[in-house]
Parts: sequence; C-alpha cells; structure tokens
Amino acid sequence: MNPRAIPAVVRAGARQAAGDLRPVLWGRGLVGQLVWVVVIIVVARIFDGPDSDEMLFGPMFLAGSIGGYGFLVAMVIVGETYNDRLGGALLRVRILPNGPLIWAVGKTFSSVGQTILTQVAVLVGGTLFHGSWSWSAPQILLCLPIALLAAVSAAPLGFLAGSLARGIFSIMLGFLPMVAVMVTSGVFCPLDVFPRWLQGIQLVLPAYWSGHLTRWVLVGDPSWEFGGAFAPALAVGVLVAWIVIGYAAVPAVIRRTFRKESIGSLARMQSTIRSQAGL
Amino acid sequence: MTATVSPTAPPVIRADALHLAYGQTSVLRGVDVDVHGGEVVCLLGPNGVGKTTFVETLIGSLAPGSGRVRVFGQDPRRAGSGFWARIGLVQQNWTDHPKWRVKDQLEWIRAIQLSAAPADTVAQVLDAVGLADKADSRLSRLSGGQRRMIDFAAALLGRPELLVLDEPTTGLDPVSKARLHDLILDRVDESATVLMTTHDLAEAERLASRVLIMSGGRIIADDTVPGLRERLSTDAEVTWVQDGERHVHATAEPERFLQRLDLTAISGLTVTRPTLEDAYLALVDKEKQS
Repeated sequence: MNPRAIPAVVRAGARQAAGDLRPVLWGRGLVGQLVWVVVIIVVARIFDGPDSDEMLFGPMFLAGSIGGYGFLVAMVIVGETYNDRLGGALLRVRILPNGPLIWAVGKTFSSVGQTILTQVAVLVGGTLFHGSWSWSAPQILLCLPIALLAAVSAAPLGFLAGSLARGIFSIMLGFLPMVAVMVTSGVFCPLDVFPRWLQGIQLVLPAYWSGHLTRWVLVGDPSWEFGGAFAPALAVGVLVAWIVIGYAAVPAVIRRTFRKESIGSLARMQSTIRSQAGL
Repeated sequence: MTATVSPTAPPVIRADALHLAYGQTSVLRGVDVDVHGGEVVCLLGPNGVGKTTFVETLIGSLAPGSGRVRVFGQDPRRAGSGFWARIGLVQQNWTDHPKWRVKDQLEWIRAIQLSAAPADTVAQVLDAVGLADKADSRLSRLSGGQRRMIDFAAALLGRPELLVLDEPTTGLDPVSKARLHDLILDRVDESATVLMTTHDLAEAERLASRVLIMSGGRIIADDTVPGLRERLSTDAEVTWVQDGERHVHATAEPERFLQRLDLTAISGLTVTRPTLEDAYLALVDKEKQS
C-alpha cells in the first residue's frame, strides 16, 4: 500500500467504526450495553464483604471486570465478522481499494471503542456507587490506558477466530472457549483454584493479565494473583506482545478471511439461513 | 450510446480458454471472451450455466482451473488497490449494514474509494438514482428495489471504468429498471465499459452493444442483437387487413414488400421481426439438443 494512503485508510476505518457504533450507542443498543454495567456493579455491591478467604469478592470482581472485559473485543469481532459475511459486507470490501485493510482498521476501532465505553462505564459506575472500595483520580486515570491495552490486545484473537469460523455453528463453537477463557481468567475467583494446565493457558492469553493490571491499580491485594504477587511489567509486556505479534499476523489472517468471499458463497449462505428459518 | 469502441486497443476483459470446476462438476469449459472499452456486453444463458461463475473469475473470487483471465491487463487475484478503484460491482445478494443509514453506507464506501482515487459525492449518486430523499433512512427500511438502486449508487461512487453487473435489475419495478438502464447508458457515454448478466432479454436488447449467450459452460454465441436475429432463418411476418380480410406474408425483406402494398387501401398493418428472445431460445435449444 502507498504510505500516503494511510491517512485515508484511517479515515475510512473511522467512518466504518462510526457507522457500526451508532446503533450500539443509541436506543436499544445502548440499553444492551448498560445492562452489563449495571449487572457488574450490582454483583460487586451484593458481594461487597469478606468471603470465606477473608477477601472482598465485590471489589476484586469489579476491578478485574474492568480489565477483563477487554477480552470481549475478540467475541465482538467474531460476531461482527459473521454478520458482515452474511450481509455481504466482506465481499463488498474485498473488491474495494484497500477494502480488507480498512475493514480491519474499522472493526478494531468499533469493537475496541464499544468495549472501552463499557469498561469506562463500569469504572464510572464503580466510582459513583462505591462500597468498601474508594478509588482516587490517579487510579481511575491509570485504568484508562490499561482498558485500551486490554481491548486492543484481544482484537487479533477475534480476527483469527472470525476467519476460522464461517458458519453459525462454528461461530457458536468458537464462542465456547472464549467464554471459558473469560470465566477462568481470574475475574470471578483466584487463578490458583484452577488446574496448572489451565493456569498455563491463562498466563499466555491477554484476559488474565488485563484483569491483573486493573486489580493491581484499583485493589492492590495480590491474593487472587498467580504466585500471590503482582507483576505489572510482565502484564504490560504480555499485552504489548499480543498487540505487536497479533497485528503482525492480522494481514495474513485477513487475507484468509476474504479469500473465500464470493457471490456464490454469499448466495449459498443466505439461502441456508432462509431455509433454516423456514422461509 | 455515443461511446466508441476501439477493437485495436487492448481489451478491458480478456478470458482465454477458461476452465473451472466445482469438485467433479465442470462449470466453465473453455470460455473465450474479449470485452473492449466502451462496450455494453450482456451475458445471457439459462440458470446454472456458469454466468456468475464467470463473473467471479473477473473479480478474482474464483481461480480458473486452467486458462487465463485478465482485466485491465491484470490478473484479478493479484491486483492491488489501483485495480479495484477502476471496477464497480453490483450483485443481488447484498444486505449488509441493515442498521446503517443510507448516507452512512455511501459515505463509508466513498471514504474507501478515496483511499485510492477521486470519487463522486454521496449527494451526486443519490440524486442520480433518484433516492436523495432516502439519505437518512436505515438500509433495512428500504424495499428490495431501493436497496438495489443504493448498491448501484455505491458502485458509481468511484466513477469506475468497468461496471460488472450480476443481474442488477432483478426485482426492480419498471420505472426503477428504466432509470437504471439510463444510468448505465450515461456511464457508457462517459467511456465506461459494462459487462452484465441478465435473464431479461428486453433489457439486453435495449442495452447491449454485444450479446454473449452461454450454455453448458461455453459461449455458444457472441454477436450484436441484429446479428443474432439474422442468424435465425425465420422471416419477418407482415400482417394487414384488406377488404375485411386478414392477410399474412413471411418475407426476409419486409421493407421491400411494404413498397408493393397499397397503404391507402389497407389497415391493421404490422411487421413482426424475430426478436432476441426468438434467437436466444433457438440457440439454447439447439445447444441442448446437440
């Protein structure tokens, strides 16, 4: 690509993200986003007390959710990729100049933007409706770049899964391990309650380290962490590695995503959906 | 149509001995096609003969098993952004971004086009397709025909030199269809080249500077509309009423025959020539039988 086209590519990606975000941030889309914010804060308030291990589940869960929620970017991208494949947007951008690249840039912007808004809403909600926890302005501000880092680091996994899973059943199968990663990432309970092999998987994925960083900033109690200690530099290193290595691999992944997009495959896919819906 | 076709210039589209199979099923069996700048080439044929598959090879969605396809002298499967800026595609299955407003969709496509080449404004193309009042409507609220027109507007944004249209008027009402035909011809006047597949023979008769008829994965006819008509041995049929009696006369030269009639003494004069449909049906039927 001509380097002089980069600003135009970014502009087009931003326009795509604006189109994608508009329905999410208005009306029912916004309600859908806020429901999760309310659920997280209500759960944190309900369980804001010492549990059997003398730890405060509420603050731990709340702080871990802010970082861990960033992993949802991967699932958002998988879902959006499927929708765009089914509607023909992937075919459309495949035959537009710089289309696949712009699509990937736009999806990164919109999925990261959507997730960060929810993370910030949880952060604001947790500040306003605080329980035993109380966060200072520097703590809150430090969470913002962490939320961004967490969300962007999960995006390459979304592009990879979106390129591998083409049909609705494979998408649903792909969601299962992603949900499992979220559930076992230390947001709901200490990492050391899980088997070693699962801890090993979590240590190489971004989900645990994202929650690790927000717990480090907002709670400061390392009792839920692997090895019983915080390792913020390692956490940032893992997330940055996911971004650097992940986005180095994204062009090849995107090429794979778009290679099979054709008029015939689109017609077959829509026909299958219609027949499954009994139309 | 005022655009001139220069057969000496390199063809915009060149397909040489294209073969393509889906598994064991052979779909394209030696397709040879040249399309020159300024032509409107209509690709006709029964369902399932490989028309869309041929279009897929032009846009690089499918790689031929053997043979070669070149568009603007390039292999579409290896083409860069400059290549795609020269092509506009319309096909009938797009339902993307249903929650977006019409203007959001078109502004997005325009922004993509602008990453490689100049583009018309959204207002210009919406005005051209007669849907300026739908700019703020959600795409999901449009009728099928309106959606197709928006897709056509999207294809026009980059001022493409080649329009590839896969059954673009399916489902359009007659007014929208006529408007789309006018838009296609306007683009041809501005030197665009058009390759379109259609089942509407009247449409092909109106638009095509050349017609390709496909059957069994091959091009079985490649000619102008008058040329295809002339291939039929069927004569024109002249009918008239004289002294209360209806007369019918078959002739290869109806103009000369009319000169022999006393036009003041007859009524109900009609001349029926073989249509493109007659030629198409005869050719496809002959191919089936062979």
